[in-house]
Amino acid sequence: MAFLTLTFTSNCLAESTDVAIYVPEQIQSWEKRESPVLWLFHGGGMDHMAWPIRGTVADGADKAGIIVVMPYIPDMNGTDPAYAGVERFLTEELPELISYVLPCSRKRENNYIAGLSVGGYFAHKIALSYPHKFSRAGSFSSPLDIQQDLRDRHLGDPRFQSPEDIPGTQWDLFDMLKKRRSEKVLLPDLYLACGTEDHTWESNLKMRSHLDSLGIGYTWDEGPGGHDFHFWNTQIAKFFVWLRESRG
Amino acid sequence: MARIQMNVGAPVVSVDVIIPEYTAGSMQSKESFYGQPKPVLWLFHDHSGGHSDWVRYTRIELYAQQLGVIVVCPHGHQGFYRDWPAPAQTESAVLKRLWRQVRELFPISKDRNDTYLAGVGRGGYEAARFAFDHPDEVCAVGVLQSSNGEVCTDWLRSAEENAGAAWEFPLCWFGCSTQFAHYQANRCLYERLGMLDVRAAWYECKGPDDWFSRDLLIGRFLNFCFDPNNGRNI
Repeated sequence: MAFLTLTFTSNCLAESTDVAIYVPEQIQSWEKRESPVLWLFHGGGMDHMAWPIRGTVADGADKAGIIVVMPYIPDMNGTDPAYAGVERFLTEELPELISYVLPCSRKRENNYIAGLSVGGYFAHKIALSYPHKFSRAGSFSSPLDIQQDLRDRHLGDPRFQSPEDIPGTQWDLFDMLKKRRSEKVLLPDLYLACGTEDHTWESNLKMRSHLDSLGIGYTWDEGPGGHDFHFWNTQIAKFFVWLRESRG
Repeated sequence: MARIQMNVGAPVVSVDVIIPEYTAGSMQSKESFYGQPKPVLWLFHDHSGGHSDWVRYTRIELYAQQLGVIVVCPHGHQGFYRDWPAPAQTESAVLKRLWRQVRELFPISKDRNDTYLAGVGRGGYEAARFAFDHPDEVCAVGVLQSSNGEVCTDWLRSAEENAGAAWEFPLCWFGCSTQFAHYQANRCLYERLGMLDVRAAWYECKGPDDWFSRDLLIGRFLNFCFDPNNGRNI
């Protein structure tokens, strides 16, 4: 139905920010505010326009009747001292504003989160940190073993954390899953997808084994493909179908 | 405040929407502010202009935030918000389809007394035409630096034909700068409306017709509309 760019000054980010939004055809009116929302993250080095320009979001969103919110995330690595502001922006400030401006639901069962590459890792991190806010989470070609990714690709880069600093922290998805499992927290339904030629393939296999060992259910999709929008566009279409079917 | 740039429908209409945000120190609670639909001002551009004129050239965002009103600025292209054979069916696209879609999508009140319309130049004329054709939809219309006297007066004809009707015409607020070429024609129109018992108000400022005076005029119109002593819900 409509493509929107929302611009506002974020207190959490302490700067003006842009958010791309796709509103599908069949949404409910503002008075009801019950439309489901997908919070969809870009990858490293991209911005809020990555999905609108290179992705194919509209068709799946129209069929699923889901509003898609694509924010610009300035720091997904946690190296900025102001990182806590980014997380508050995504989990408090932006959802509050979006549900006022648009007919979006705040209910857990109507809020989904996903991303490509490091955006998918970040989506899982947010979903596991705030499992009461999101009912479904997805990642496409994501470095879910972030410690290994930092060791392999970013060692010595001051823009990233040191891999030794990861274990047992909020950045360690493996540890977070174990803790959530022992706390008997209701976890979001998880969707993991990766191309067999992707550099994050091993990372995804490791996460799959970890989920199996914890007895946590998930949906897995794999296929030939690398770290590119060809694979991500195939996956976002499948992800919308999964959301549609899992919602019944 | 939040600014939304939107492309909607087919044929596509480009729109700027300004939505006031809650600010600390407000008289209302945050829940109350975010839970209630807001009054709306539809704002039309001039000949050769576009939907972004108001945001780019005036302080409309600040006015909207201060007064708690949502502002919708649609692109009317060269169609002046009418259905011409060419270049575009802008009356159908803007004043029928978009009017409905925007009111469904955003926190906009559907109450007539919360619905305002204004425009500059040809946009002012078309705003008045729509308001007089739909007196049940709009409570006040701002006609800013418009060439009404020169072009046509079909909305005035509507007022004349319906003089004494049981329903009420929207209040018609004229804003004009003294050096505007059609100043006198606007003044005459304002006086004619007065003779027809259509509620009308006049404001003039010194100077030429430029964006400084247009900014002043839209600010004055909004202050008039949202001043509890004279404009709001009259």
